[in-house]
Amino acid sequence: MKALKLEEISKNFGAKTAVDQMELSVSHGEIYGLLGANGAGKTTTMRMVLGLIYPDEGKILYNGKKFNEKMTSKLGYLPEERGLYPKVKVNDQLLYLAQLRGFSKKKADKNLKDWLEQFEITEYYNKKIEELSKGNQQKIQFIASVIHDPEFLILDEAFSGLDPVNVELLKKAVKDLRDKGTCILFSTHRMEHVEELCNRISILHRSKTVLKGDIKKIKNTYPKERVILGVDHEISDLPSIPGVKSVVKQSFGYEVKISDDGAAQEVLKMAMEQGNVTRFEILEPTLNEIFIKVVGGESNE
Amino acid sequence: MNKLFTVAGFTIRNKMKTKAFIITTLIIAVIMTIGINIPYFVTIFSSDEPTKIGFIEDDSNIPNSVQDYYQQQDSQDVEIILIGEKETSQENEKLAMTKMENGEIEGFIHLKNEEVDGFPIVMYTGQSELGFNLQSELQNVFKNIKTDAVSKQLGLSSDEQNILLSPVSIESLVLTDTSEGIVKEEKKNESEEKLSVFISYAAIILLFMGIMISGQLIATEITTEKSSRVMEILVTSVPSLTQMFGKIIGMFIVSISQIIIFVAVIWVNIMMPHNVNVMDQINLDMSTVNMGLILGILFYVVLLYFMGFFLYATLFAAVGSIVSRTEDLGQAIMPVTFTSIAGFYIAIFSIGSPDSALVTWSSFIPFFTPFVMALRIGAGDPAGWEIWLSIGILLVSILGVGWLSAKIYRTGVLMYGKRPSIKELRKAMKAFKV
Repeated sequence: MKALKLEEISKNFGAKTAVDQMELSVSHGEIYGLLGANGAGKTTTMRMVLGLIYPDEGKILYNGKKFNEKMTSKLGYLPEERGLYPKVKVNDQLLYLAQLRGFSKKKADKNLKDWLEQFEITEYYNKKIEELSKGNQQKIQFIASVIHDPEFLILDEAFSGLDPVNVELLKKAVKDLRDKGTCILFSTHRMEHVEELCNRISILHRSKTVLKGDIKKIKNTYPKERVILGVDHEISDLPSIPGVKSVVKQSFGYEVKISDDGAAQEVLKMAMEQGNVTRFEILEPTLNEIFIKVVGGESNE
Repeated sequence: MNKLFTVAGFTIRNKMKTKAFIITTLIIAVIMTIGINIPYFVTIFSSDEPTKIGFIEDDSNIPNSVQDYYQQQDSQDVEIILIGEKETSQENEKLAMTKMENGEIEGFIHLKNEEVDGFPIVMYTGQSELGFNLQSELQNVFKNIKTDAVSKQLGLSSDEQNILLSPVSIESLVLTDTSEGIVKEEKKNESEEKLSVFISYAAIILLFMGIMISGQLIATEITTEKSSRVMEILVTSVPSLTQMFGKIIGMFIVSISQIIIFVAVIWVNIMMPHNVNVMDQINLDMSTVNMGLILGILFYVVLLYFMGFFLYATLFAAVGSIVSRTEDLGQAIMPVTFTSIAGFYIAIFSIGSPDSALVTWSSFIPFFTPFVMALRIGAGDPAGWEIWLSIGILLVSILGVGWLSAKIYRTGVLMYGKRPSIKELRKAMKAFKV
């Protein structure tokens, strides 16, 4: 049985459809990626999972059960728009938030100290939020969403606004939680994080799920279209090969776009005829390319 | 239930810890202490030395009588010094003048030879005016002496004189028309009247202050939670109804404890030994007060305070929840603020006419009831059914407004951007299925 299951849920706001026939499931110990441009329906989906609004059609099951009041103690949420009480001390407000989730104050205090230690910011235990740097506020915000040991964790743009060191720190924390069996729904439009963390994804576009499934399988269904050619001399006539769509000159040589796999071999042949080839590589499509292909140029991201 | 108290506790802790709260409470307490002690300070600075006033003796015994009168007073703030060492009144006057210039006396009185209505004209000479209190007291003293003299002339005995001087007492009996016919109803006596008017006056002012301060704080806090986006986490943890009422209960406790602190400050100050005469001065005789009656009034007033606070607090919470930025809040809460101001003014300006039609009618309008009914109970004389009817209407309105506010709150906290219109709010409510 899947930990979290969304069964054909739809949500309309007046005449506007926000989410249309969405279906996905997440197991314990899995990070599921929810991708989509702004306004694709990610936030609405997450709000429905959080029990804030109810789907018009379909249902959401948590361990096979419907949402009820007690679920709030098992849910953790890191909203995209970060917010904590600026004038309240870290320990005061995090313990408060944990208590609101029905978690005991003593256990929350222990968890808070452990997390602060893991993030190497123990000295902020007693500081007000407004005295912290933005990066540290983000860490506190992350702790706020996991302090009550949630079974289901919803992360909306978890790494935005963080420097690379802190991104690694949080990434490790998310992976640790996954390994402990937390069921994580992860929304972002930063593809590199998705490729690293998630096995399965859904790409949303204008309220519809346009692509869904295992990242590797998705990638395999898309043709390999990019050829990297490392040469130290000029190659003429590359565009004349059938199947070559475009040729861009780079510092290392050429980047060639092709429409079918056969053209790659022709490109290599021609390059070898005209001189030494130092590098030849047929790249699999990145998630970024797939995303842009699927969602089209209409996305602003 | 648990979470309700968690929210209330958090609100209380955070509010009471803020510097603003501690400082305002302290400042108001200090101002109150100073205010209550002003009459005492005035007496300290003025009663060190009695005011010395000369009185030029003549053939009559009036100067002696005046001197006797002041000597018999407890307060000893005026001392009459008789001046009669010299032969003629002119020379005595000259002596008085020198004494005044030397600062031995403030001024002097002499009786002229002319008479008006059988009593000599009293003349005061001094370097400054007599002052209102002294003048009226002197006037009284002379009047008594005159009455004495005239009665003696007429040959009245002291008993007859007392009868003549005793004040007329008015007792009122209010007839109330009830279904069982005309029933006699005992009216409050003077001290009870004073005390109950004071109670309702205090209640109205405290309620208004409580609503204005706490109401705005509730609205501001909710808007701040929204604009700082901590709301996103809160609404996913706690049902918004719990959150709203937790906040209101927390603020209520903060507001009440502030009032208790102020009442305690007033009480301690009044009970200080040097302030004991303050109670005498306002002519309040506690022994004639029927405590049952006062406790009854207190019960209603406290009940109205409680209900009024909750009615307005829920309104402020609802308004706070639909605004996304604190800058827009002032404008948004204006209608609520004006409603409470209207109720407050109707009550305060009708303290002299608690039975007017305006008061009677507005006491049944739920938004005015907490103010106006408190006035009627204290200063007027509403029938029992009127009180309970208005409380009933108020209760129904609280439930109605509370229900609506909770819905607005539930919807409002998720809506960002510009302040939604009523239509947009209704649409959103439908969409969110709240």
